[in-house]
Amino acid sequence: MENYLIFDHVYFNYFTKTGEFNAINDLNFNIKKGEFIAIVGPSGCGKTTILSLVAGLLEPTEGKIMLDGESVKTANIGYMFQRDHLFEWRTIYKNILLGLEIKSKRVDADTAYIDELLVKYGLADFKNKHPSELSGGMRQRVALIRTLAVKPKLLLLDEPFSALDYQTRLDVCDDVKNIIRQEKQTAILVTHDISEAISMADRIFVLTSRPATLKCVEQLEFDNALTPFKRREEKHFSKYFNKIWEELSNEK
Amino acid sequence: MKNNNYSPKYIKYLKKIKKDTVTTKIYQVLILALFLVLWEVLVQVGVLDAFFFSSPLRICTTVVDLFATGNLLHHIFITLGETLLGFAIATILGTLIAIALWWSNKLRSVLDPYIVVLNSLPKIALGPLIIIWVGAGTNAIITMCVLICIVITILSMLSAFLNCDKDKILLMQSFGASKFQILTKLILPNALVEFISVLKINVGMAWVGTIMGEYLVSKAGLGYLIVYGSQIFKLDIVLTSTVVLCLLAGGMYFFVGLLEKKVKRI
Repeated sequence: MENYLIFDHVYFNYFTKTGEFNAINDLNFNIKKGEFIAIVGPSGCGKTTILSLVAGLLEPTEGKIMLDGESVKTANIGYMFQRDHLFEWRTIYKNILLGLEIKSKRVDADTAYIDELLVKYGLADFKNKHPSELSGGMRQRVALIRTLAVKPKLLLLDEPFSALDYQTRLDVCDDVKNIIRQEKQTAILVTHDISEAISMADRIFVLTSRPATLKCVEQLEFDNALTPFKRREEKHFSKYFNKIWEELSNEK
Repeated sequence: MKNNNYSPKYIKYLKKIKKDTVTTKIYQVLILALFLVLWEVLVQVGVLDAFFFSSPLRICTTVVDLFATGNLLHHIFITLGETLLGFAIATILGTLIAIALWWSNKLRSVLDPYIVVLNSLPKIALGPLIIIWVGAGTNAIITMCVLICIVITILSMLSAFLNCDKDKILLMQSFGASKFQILTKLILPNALVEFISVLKINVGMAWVGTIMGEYLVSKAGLGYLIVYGSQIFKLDIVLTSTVVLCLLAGGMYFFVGLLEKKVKRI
């Protein structure tokens, strides 16, 4: 399969009053369509900066980022955050419509797709409720559906589980992975939680400390049918964990 | 979980809550009653001089007298009208200015020191200027009212706009939202709660503005009655007007409270 997302010699500097900081230093990688990538790195290494670059919210100081042959600035990219950021003044349905409303293309085909997603992922009964009436895990599911509603070419997940308690987190992990797989989405997950990365991704990119560049790539071999939770019970799970743990420890 | 077979302890708990609210209400009424009775008795036995302190009964008769001559309602309407108008202008104009300042970072940083100075300046100092500029009449009173309310409106609304979660804005941008869409779909609805509390503050501020304005320049209104009453040493009139003011301000606050309840339900 050909390359879908391309990072071509990407540099990023940001400026503050006290100086200029090199946050990303010659970052190169390719992602194939339908792949699930996890990015791990020492804290503060610029993981979120990478997502902002992919989302086209920041522009690389040097280098090129291409998605499916077009610039990421104009591409349709979905972004999921640590917190669900549902708007309390909107119902669940209206929250999910947000993206379409902004793109002002509320055509029947799109609303039909939303209705389909609502039914498929068990949210139809909550359509007219307000976010505060839903549990944390449910809210994060709504946030994912809101992102998927605009049919993004790429899904960015910025530590989307870190605000949840441990048990909910494992459930939502399974839930999100399942939805992403069913919708055949290409996704990039940023996390500081190594086991979360191993339980969800196809490949893991390990970054160096700042300025961030690619340290190594770990190809994960798991049975495709395994849920993230089941992966944690596999023998080689801890092998991957130790390997990545060591890579990261060398960076501190 | 709704359970209609409440345990005796729960029923006791419910009763206690109910009892607490009732006793609070009783105390509130009691304090007012005690205050009025004490005031009346002290005046009647001659500890307080009715000439300086009036009395609840004298206030009642003054209200009746003023009503009979048709004056009191006239004064109430004038003051209420000025206050509501000033309140409305300040709230709407202040919010629009706050939107403009949110929109343009440049405008905000340039105007920042001016707003700070305007905020700390005692607006009453501008009284004579206002009278010269807009004339000695209702306009001057409304202008004073607007001046007093608008700065706090601008500052509160602006800080509500700026305090919006950065990730929420990022979310809007990731959908490709324009600045106008971020304003209408996120910033404004997000600041609704803050807007209600600005309305509450402005209720108090608007009355301050109007009464101050009426002290400076007026031919009618409750502020005028207070000044007039004190000049001819009829403290009955002064205190009557003050009591009416209390009722009006309380009523206006009550309506904003209703609005708040309605908004919270959304």
